[in-house]
Amino acid sequence: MKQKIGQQGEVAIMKIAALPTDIETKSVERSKSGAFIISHSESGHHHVIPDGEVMERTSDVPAGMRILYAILDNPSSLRQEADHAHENFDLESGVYEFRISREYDPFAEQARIVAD
Amino acid sequence: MGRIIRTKSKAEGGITTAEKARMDKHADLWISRALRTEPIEPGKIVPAIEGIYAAANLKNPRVIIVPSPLVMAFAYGASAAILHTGKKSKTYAATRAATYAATGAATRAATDAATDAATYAATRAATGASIACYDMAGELGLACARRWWDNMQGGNMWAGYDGYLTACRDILGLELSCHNAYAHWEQAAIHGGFRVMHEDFCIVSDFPEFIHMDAENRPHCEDGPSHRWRDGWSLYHWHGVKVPGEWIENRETIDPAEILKTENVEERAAGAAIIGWPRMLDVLKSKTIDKDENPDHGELIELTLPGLDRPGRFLKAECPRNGIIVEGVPYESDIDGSPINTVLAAQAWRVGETPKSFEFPPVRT
Repeated sequence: MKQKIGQQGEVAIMKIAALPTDIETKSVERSKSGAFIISHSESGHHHVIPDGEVMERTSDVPAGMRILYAILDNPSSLRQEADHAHENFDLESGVYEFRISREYDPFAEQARIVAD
Repeated sequence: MGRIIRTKSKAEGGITTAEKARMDKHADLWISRALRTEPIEPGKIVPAIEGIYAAANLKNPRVIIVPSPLVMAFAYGASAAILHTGKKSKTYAATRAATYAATGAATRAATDAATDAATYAATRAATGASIACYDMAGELGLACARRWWDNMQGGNMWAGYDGYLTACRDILGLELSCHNAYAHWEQAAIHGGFRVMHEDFCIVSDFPEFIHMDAENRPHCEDGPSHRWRDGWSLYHWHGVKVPGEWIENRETIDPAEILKTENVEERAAGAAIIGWPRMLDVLKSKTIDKDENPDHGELIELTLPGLDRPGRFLKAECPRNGIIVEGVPYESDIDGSPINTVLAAQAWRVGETPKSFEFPPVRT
């Protein structure tokens, strides 16, 4: 079961039945407040989850993307650490997949070739 | 791959798996040296430079350590111009010029850096060095300073070649007669930044105090310099492309038309990405490919950047927090190879899904 339940900025939120098997993961950086960083921002406006067990998938991830999982024993929320933040996205207890959307620069490679 | 041969004077036939593993670590070591941000240590760089001169049968030079490559360039300019004029005791004057230009700027920069913002300190460092250069050598000094790269050596910034040379020695086992002399050059590559060398003096730059990079290890910073030296002099890069500092520092107010005036197309593309595609919409030719009725889902558009043949595809949509967003997508999905000709396909690609499996989110915050 995988159900897309919402999106907060660049973070697509899916509720899933269980953590996928046969994947490799790594631990996730925490923000100054101690929350798990789901999506990193250079300006410090991270999207975070304050608690639970959070990990980042490192195998079979499309280029330029990040996929993270959270196991929440208790209800929590996805928040943005910013003054003018996205609204909090409440999460029931359960297992979640977060897909951080990616961007493509259609001109960078063309420009590099022209410049060369 | 031929038969692997290893002697003290010959290495042929490719490399073994064990050598490859050692070379990977060796490359990491030299990369860390190239990215060094700890301050230069006079006790280590001076003997290294003196060793290079000794290997060339020259007497010990005066080694002048400067806070940044910019100060080095002006100090070099002053000394080069004085040497060119052919005055009596020109070597003394050139040495004095290099020292004066370097130390004057360094002193001003250090004072300012302690009390003022980094950008101001950078201006003062440049001003101090350029004034000293002009005082000593006039217009010719400034002209020479602009051509500093004609006579420079890279120090740790040329770590790639030193990594190659030392791998042949330390991993493949070469023991060549030139290695003794090279050892001093190697030490200078470890312990110093850019330098210019003269028979009587050598000007060596300190290392940057920070270097920022993107996930692909290209110099990059979204909201400040990618490199900054301790006198405040800075460089700005956008995913590896060097750009004017004001494009990053004043990105909210730079006129998009200014970006398009830039001659270098690589810089132009970087500039457009820096100030953001929503603002570039006003100055670029745009064409709608597909449009969804729901503005949250958006519109697939093509933008044409002058100087490039192929338009780029972008998804233009409304974000609850940020207003209109415009983000690039490729022509074809790497997930299933399908063309990205619709809003749905573009949205699916952004989150690594196929158009078939993709659903728009029911809630957006």
